[in-house]
Amino acid sequence: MELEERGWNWRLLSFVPPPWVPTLAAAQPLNITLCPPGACMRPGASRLASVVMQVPVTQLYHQYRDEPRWSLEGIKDCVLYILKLYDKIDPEKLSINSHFMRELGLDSLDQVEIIMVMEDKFGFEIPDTDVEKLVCPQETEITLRIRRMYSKTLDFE
Amino acid sequence: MAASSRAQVLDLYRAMLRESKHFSAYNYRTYAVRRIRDAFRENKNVKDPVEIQTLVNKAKRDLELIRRQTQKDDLSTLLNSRRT
Repeated sequence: MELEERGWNWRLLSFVPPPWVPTLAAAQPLNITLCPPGACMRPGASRLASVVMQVPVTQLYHQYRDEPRWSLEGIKDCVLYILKLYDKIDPEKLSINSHFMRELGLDSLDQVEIIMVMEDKFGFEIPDTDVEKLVCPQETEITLRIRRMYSKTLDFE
Repeated sequence: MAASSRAQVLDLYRAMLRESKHFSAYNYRTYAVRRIRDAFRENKNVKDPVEIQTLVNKAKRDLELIRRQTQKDDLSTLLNSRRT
């Protein structure tokens, strides 16, 4: 997706690593060509090649899809990584329990935007009534884990 | 009244950003998102309820406009692709 360039570092955001290889993503700087998982269902030969080169052989993914599986543990790292790309957030102050409004100094409009980016990156819609309650990354992560567990789309098992 | 209008404004913000993503032209898409963000932030501190209601009504009309335009985009792409 393309929100306005200022506010989010969109080139980096499009390289958000899949949540099941957070350590690899930290080791590799951002010239990897992994595409965001769950964002689309296009097959991509180049993406497949780069994923295969970087992934240990034991962590293979489902044979009929070229996208790696999501893991529950990786969701937290993914959420924090996305938040670090937002330029209104100071990365040093960001932790899993930091409150968006009190500690990080964001307002409700920013919170709406953050939740929208999460929805797009992870491929879930979060209903409007629940969005107001997501005021820290911990709650966002919990909501995404619950959605992932109950999701009936083909990406997840 | 203030609480419900706050929730209403946030819902409008979210709905408008969502609808703007469906523009097929990059220019319209980015302009719409940029304009929505700037306009909501600019009017963030308005206190007068009459003015707030005016702005909310304008936002609702603009949301309908975006919806009409995005549907029209889809329709025209479909029709144009079938013409040849």
